[in-house]
Amino acid sequence: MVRTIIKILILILIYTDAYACNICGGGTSDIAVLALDGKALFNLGFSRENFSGIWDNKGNWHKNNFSQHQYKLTLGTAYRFNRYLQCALNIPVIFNRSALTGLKQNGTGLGDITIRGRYEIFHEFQPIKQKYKIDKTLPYFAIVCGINLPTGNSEEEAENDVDVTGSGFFSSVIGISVTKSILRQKLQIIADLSWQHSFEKKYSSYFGEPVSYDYSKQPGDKISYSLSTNYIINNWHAFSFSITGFLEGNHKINDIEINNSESKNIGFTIAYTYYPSTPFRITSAIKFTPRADNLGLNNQTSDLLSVNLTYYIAEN
Amino acid sequence: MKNAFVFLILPIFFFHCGEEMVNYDADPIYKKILTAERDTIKFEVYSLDDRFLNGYNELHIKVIINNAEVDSGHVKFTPVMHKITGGTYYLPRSERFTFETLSGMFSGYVIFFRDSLSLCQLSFNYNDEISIDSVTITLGFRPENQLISWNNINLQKTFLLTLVKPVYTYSAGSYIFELMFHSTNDSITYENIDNAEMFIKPWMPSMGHGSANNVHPALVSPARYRGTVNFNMPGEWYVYDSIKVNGNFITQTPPPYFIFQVW
Repeated sequence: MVRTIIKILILILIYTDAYACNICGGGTSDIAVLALDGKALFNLGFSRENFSGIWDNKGNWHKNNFSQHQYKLTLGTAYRFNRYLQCALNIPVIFNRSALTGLKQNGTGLGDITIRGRYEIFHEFQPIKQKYKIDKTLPYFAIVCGINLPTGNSEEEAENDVDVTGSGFFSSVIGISVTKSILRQKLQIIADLSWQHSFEKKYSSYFGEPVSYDYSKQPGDKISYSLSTNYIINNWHAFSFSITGFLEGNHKINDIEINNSESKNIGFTIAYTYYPSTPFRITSAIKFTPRADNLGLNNQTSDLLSVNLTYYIAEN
Repeated sequence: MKNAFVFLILPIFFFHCGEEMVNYDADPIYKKILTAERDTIKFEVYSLDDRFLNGYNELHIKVIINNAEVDSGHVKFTPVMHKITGGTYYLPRSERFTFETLSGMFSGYVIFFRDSLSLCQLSFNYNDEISIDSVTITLGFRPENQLISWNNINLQKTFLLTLVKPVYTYSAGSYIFELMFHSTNDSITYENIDNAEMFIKPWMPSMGHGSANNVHPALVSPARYRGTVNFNMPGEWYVYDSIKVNGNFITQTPPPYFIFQVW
């Protein structure tokens, strides 16, 4: 049973790509990943993100003096084509809430849909004589690629700040994912690294007002990282701890790079997973960003609470 | 299993409402910043600040004649800037300070600005009858008081755009955005511009986004334009103001902007 949990845990790594604010679009997106013996999975997630403050362009942290939240309902699925290739799809619905006086306080809409492909070069668990055995030397290694579709409302479509549910940009992602068991059936280390390139967007309107001049924007390239450790207690319970973050370059307005607009963020996630039965799991997670100077740049800090219900279909 | 279930579901109910916006509006407390006195006539100048400042100054004047405050008529308040190199120039101001029941004083505005070598002198006049002249003052400086001037070569004019509100932006939120707009042909006297169309665009340069539901400033009284600006996030904001006069833009690209630190 523990072995099964380990497999499921590997299957369902939570890939965290942290966006910060409502206005920047999207909130946090999670992508589920299938293990070698998994054929498909379905995930229903709910999260609540409370924006606590902001790092300015000097790295100084400032507390928010109003409440601002983002709730997200996410439907995710992943499918394995063969031993090497799988893909995942995430469809979020965003609920924004802001307590700024005099402004619209609630907004809802479809978020940015994310699609990921994963080419797995090496599996740490190898099927040998119809049983899975762990490889003692090589780690799990995969190349990840994907796109983010601007299906949410950006500032171009939204008429209010709280109606912004997406970035407005097409973006592509490529990265690597590595997993290694440290203590057999007990402890794993997982590392993810990815590079995201967003494409330029031209605006014809901005918050309901027509743009009568040339206005285009392109976010800087972004490097996201994640380092996690999973600890499996027994057949029913597991914990994980992750450090996630990103570095993003200066954005461009009308092809001109805006100085001091680079962005940086770091966050910590603690997750607990309960396995009531083999194909089903419930994960509850708390993610927080430290509220201290010099740990981020031009980014909001937030605390995120999430619950994910995952149903897993094994390979026949 | 029961405990595990509670742990999993608990975060959903772990709501934190945060803090609401602080209301900084309160009854104004006027401070006396100057007394000009001659014989039995006294002009006392009051302000919400403790001194004359660069930029927009809302001033209130008490006129006391024979130890009695007057509450009718009007006051002319004229700051004159004397250049050390010779010559004088006058500042944009209310043509007349009229009696305001709320403050119990004659109220109006002056926009102070000067080169570092000019001497600022004030003259007071009540009902075109009683005057006190040549009261020398020093000007204080407050960086939040912002004013922008630019030349328009085609029109042979210098324009002066002065921020009235907000001076302080203590938190993200919606603010009244009030400006004064003047021009000069000779850099000696300024005239009100009452037929401008203004288009504002708040923008966070470091984050690369703006805000929604801003109200473009419109004329509310001579030279005074009022709208609404929304800062939806703490941080440094630029508020650009593109201005049309007689159907033509008189601002350049990029348009003039005011900077706000919203914390």
